[in-house]
Amino acid sequence: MIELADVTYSYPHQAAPAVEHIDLRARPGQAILCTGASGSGKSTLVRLFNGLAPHFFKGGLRGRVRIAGADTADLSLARISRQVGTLFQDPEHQFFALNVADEIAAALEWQGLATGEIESRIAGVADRFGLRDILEASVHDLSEGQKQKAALAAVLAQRPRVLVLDEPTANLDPEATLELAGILGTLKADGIALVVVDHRLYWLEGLIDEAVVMENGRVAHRGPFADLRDDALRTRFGLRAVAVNDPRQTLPPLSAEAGRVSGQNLCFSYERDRPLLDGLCFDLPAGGVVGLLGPNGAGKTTLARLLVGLLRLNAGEVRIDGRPVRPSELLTRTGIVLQNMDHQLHMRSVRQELLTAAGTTRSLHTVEEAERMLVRFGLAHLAERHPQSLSGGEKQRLVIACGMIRHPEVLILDEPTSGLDGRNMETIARSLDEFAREGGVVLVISHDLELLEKTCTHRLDLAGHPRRA
Amino acid sequence: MRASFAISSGGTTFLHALDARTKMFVGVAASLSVIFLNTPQSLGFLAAASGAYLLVLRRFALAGVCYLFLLLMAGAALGFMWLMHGIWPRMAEPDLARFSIPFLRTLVLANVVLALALSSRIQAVLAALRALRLPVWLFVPTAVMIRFIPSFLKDIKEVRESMKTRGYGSGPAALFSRPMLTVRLLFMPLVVRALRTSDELGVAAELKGVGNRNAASCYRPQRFSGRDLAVACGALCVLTAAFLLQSGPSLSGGMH
Repeated sequence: MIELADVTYSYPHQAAPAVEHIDLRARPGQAILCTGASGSGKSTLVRLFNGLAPHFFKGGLRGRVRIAGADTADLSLARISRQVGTLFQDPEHQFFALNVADEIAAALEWQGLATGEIESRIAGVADRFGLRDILEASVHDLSEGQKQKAALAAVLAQRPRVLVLDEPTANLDPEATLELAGILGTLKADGIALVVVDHRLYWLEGLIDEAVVMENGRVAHRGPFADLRDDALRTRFGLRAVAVNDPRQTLPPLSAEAGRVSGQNLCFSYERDRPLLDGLCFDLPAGGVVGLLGPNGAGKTTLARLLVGLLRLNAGEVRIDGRPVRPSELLTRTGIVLQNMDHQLHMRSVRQELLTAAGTTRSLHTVEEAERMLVRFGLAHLAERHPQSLSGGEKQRLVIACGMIRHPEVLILDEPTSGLDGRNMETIARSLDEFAREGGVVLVISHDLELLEKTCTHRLDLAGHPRRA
Repeated sequence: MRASFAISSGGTTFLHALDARTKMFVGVAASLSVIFLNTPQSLGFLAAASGAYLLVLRRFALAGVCYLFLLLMAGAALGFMWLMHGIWPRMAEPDLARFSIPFLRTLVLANVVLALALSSRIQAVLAALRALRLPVWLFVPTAVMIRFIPSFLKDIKEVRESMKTRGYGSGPAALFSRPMLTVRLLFMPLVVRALRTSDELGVAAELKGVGNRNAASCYRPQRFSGRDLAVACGALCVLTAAFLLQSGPSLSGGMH
C-alpha cells in the first residue's frame, strides 16, 4: 500500500542526508513501528510518508515513495493527504479550524463533498470517538485526549488508506493511551495500513507487525516487536522499556506530617459554581519527588500554576516553611518548567540562557555553577549553540537546568519527558533525583509511567480529591 | 489543562453571529478610510467607534493588552523624537496632534482585524475570499494570516507567563528599567513561535487541500440577515460621520 524504496532524503541547505537508503513497506491491515533515539530520522520518515518531504519542505529526494503504486512525486500534497492521514504529536499543529466540527469538515469541504455527505461523515466519526457533545467546542478548550481524538476524527473522516501517527501518546494519560491502542486495532482490522512512530513502546504490544529501529538516518534493526524485549538492543539504541509497571497506585500517598511546602484549603474555579479545587490540603516533603496524578482535566496544571503564583487562589493559602506566601512572592521562590519549550528560550547561546536564568534570583550564582549545570545535563558541548536550534530533548534538558539553577524552593515540571527517548528520560529522571536529594521539593505532572516509576517517592492524586458537584 | 487555554472561542456574541463577509466589509471600509482621514478628531472618532465594535466580543483583557502595546510604541516613538529634538534643536519639536495620527490609524486597523479574526470561522473567511474570485496565492495567505492571530495571541500569553516564572516583568516598568533584555526576552521566543506557527498552519492548510478552488464546497453556507445589513449601514454612517468631522476645522494641515 505505502512503500519507501531505497529512499535517501536531504533537507535544503543540509549537506548530510536526514535519512539514507530506507526500504519500508506497510500493507493494508499491517502496522509497522519506527522507533529510535532522538535525531535518528523518525520525523523525516513521517514527512516522507505523508508527502510533506519534499512537497512542503523541498529538499532532495532519491528513490521512490509510492502509495497504491503511484509515485508521490507525481501527486499533489492534497491528493496524498486523502490517502495518507497523519496524526501529529501535538494535535494543535494540525488544527486549521477553530472548533471541532469545522476541523473535521475542513478537508472534506476542500474535496468538494456535498453538505449532506460532510454532515454524515462528521456524525460518523463523532459517534466513533465520542465527540458529539464537543462538536461546537473550541479546539483550544479541549483536554489533550480530546484534542487527539478530534485530530484523529478529522483525519479518518477523509477515509485514508494509510494512517501515520507521530508520537501519538506523548500527551495522553495511560487510559487514553490504551483507548488509542484499541482504536488503532480496529482500524487495522478494517484494512488500514498503520505507521506508528513513537518512543513509548509498552502500549504497542499486540498491535505491531514489524518494528524498525532507526539510527543516524538508517534502518539499524528490523524484526518482530518481540525483538524489542532484548535489553541489550534497547540499551544500544537508547530505547524505552517494552513493559512498564503502573506506579500510580503503588506510590505512597503524601503523609500527614508537615512538609516544607503545603497547601491549606486551596479553592479555585474558572467558572462560578464549578470549583476545580475545593478545600485541597497537602504537604510536600523536602527531598521528595511527588507525582501529581489525575486524569486529563482534573486540575493538575491549574494547581501547578496556583503554586507558582501564575493564578490567584479563590481561598486558602500556600505556605513555605510554615509561613503563608503571597502569589507575587511565590513567583520568586518557586520554579516551573512548562510544556512548550519554545516560549522559555530567549538568549543567544545555551550558556547565556543559563546565566540569565540564574541572574534573576536574589542569591547570585557563579559562572562555575552554570558550567556544572551544563555538564550535569549533557549540554557542555552545546554551550555556544543557539537554544532555539537544539533538538527537543536538548531543549527540554536546558529549560529544566534553567529552572534548577534558580534554586527554587519547589520545582514543578509539567510533562517533562513527553516525546523523549529513553536516554533523555533517564537524564531528566536522574537530575530530578539529585535536585530532591539536595533538599529541594519536586512536583512532577506526568503521564509517563516510566518517569513516575523511576523518580517519584510519593503521589498527590487529584482524582481522589473531593469537589462539589 | 484549562489553565493553558489563552485563546478560547470566548462564547457567542453579536459579532459571532454576523456573516464573515459583513465583518470583512467593515474591515476593508475602515482600512480604506484611514488612508484618507488625516485629522486627530476624525481618526479619534473612528478609533472609538471601532473600539466599541471590538469590545462587543467582551475580550476586555485582550483589548487592554493590545492598546497598552500601541501606547508603549507611541510613547517610545515620542520619547525618541523629544530626545532627538533635545540633541539637535533644529529638528522640529514633536506636534502631539500630528504625531497621534499614525497611531490612531493603527488602532482602527487593530480593532477591525481583531474583531474579524476572533469571531469568524476560518472556512467562512476562506469561502468569502474565494467567492471574490481572488487568486489562490492571495486568498489562502490572507486567510492563514487571519487564522494566525488567535495562535499568536496565545503565544504572547505563554511567553509573558514564561518571563514571569523566570522573575522578569514584561510591563512598562521592565521595559524602561531593562529595555534591551526585556525586548529580547519578549520578542525572541515570539519571533521563533511566529515562524513555527506559520509553518504549522501552512502544513495544516496543505494537508487539508486548502486552495483547491475547483472542488471546494461549503458545509455551513453563510446567509446575510437583517443584523448584517444593520451593521453594514451603521459602519457606513460612522465612516460618513468621520469624514464630516474631517471636513470641519482641523488641527492639522494635510495628509501625513
